[in-house]
Amino acid sequence: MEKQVIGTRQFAILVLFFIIGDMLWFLPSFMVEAVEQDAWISALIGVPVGMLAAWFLFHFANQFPNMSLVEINWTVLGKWLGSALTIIYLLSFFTVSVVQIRQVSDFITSQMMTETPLRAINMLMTIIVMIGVWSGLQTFARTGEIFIMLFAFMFLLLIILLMPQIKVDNILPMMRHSFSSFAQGVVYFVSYSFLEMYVFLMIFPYVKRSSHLFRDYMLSALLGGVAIFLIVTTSLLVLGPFLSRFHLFATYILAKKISIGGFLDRLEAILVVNFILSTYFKATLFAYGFVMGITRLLKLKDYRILIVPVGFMIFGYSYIVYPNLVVLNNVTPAWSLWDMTHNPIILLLIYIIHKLRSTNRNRHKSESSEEA
Amino acid sequence: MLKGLLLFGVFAAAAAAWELPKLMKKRWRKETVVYLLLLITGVIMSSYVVSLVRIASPLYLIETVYRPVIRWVSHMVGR
Repeated sequence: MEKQVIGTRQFAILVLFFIIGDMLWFLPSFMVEAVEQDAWISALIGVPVGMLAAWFLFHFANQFPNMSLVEINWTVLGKWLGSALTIIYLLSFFTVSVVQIRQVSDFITSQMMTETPLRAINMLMTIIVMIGVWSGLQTFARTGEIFIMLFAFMFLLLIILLMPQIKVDNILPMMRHSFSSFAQGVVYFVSYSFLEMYVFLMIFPYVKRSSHLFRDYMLSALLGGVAIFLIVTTSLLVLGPFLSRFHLFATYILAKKISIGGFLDRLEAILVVNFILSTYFKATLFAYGFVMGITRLLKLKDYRILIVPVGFMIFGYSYIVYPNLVVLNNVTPAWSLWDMTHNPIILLLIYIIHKLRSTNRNRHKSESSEEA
Repeated sequence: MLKGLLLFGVFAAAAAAWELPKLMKKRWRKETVVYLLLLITGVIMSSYVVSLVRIASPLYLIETVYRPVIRWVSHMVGR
């Protein structure tokens, strides 16, 4: 199996795409449901909290240089317990990847191509994602480099063109919610975008170490956080809390509202490209994590042989993973807790066990050297 | 269900006919077993799609596992 290495810039771009991911569409609805017109305050608090989560993940990965999550689990917990924990993580990689694919299909079949069967879009998305995984980390990281400028341009276009429609009254009255509501908003903001970054533990061993890796990584996390904060805030300011809450695809409705002088309108189809791009990268990263995880866990010689079977599995699972978007929406609180279990709860436990063992080992070493 | 299994069975058979001889030639036994196991799982899952068979969403499992935690947190914060 060839060793693929990606550069710092490529890695930072993947982080940015990942954080925005499907949240470009869903976050306003989730957050407004929790804190209504104060969702922007929760999002603002969520940015530093998310940065803290991103810092922890980087610090955690640094404790185990050149190790993926599979090897980390083996090193800290031993072969059996480590493998069992890896399987739990692999199941989550698989599920998140499938849910991303399904969300794109749900969006396209409910908003744009209503006559097209869900299965057709599922199949197309699965093929695209599996081509990305087959091409390898380096190739889809380069794809990210190509698309990032287009993505940034269209994202800024959305925000700038919506500015004339902003109504400040939509976020009034301010600070009318309890601490628990704000906390719930922050949890939604952080869990889907920042906490799910645990998949990068499968990517870190392939990132070229450079002096500014940490700086670029954190900058990327900050930009991603600011981008989703802008989405939540713009949605609130333009659509108001009621529409933001009940439209699951609030950003799409936002894009539909763009109308400049009666000649520049119907830009939503172009902006859908942004949603599909960011969701594609998130789905591909999780699918890559899943395939690489199986390969490393079972010590297989080549990960590419698994592409077709995993493609079949993703396609099948994308249909049965949930019956409709209402179910996905209802699972939101449990999903957030599920994310929190993977990162930081389990990772923190692994970190503590590792630290305790290192301290014990060092103490034994110093004792034995004193005796000698 | 049967139609779905047959359709994806043919696809899977074609994929296996392409990949398996290469794996056998290299004597990658473990890889061959993993490939076949995942392919069979994939075909069964894909056959649900063709047959439009709905099974209980696996996401309900997440909801069931975390429901007590959500209830406890809601109780603690008085919501």
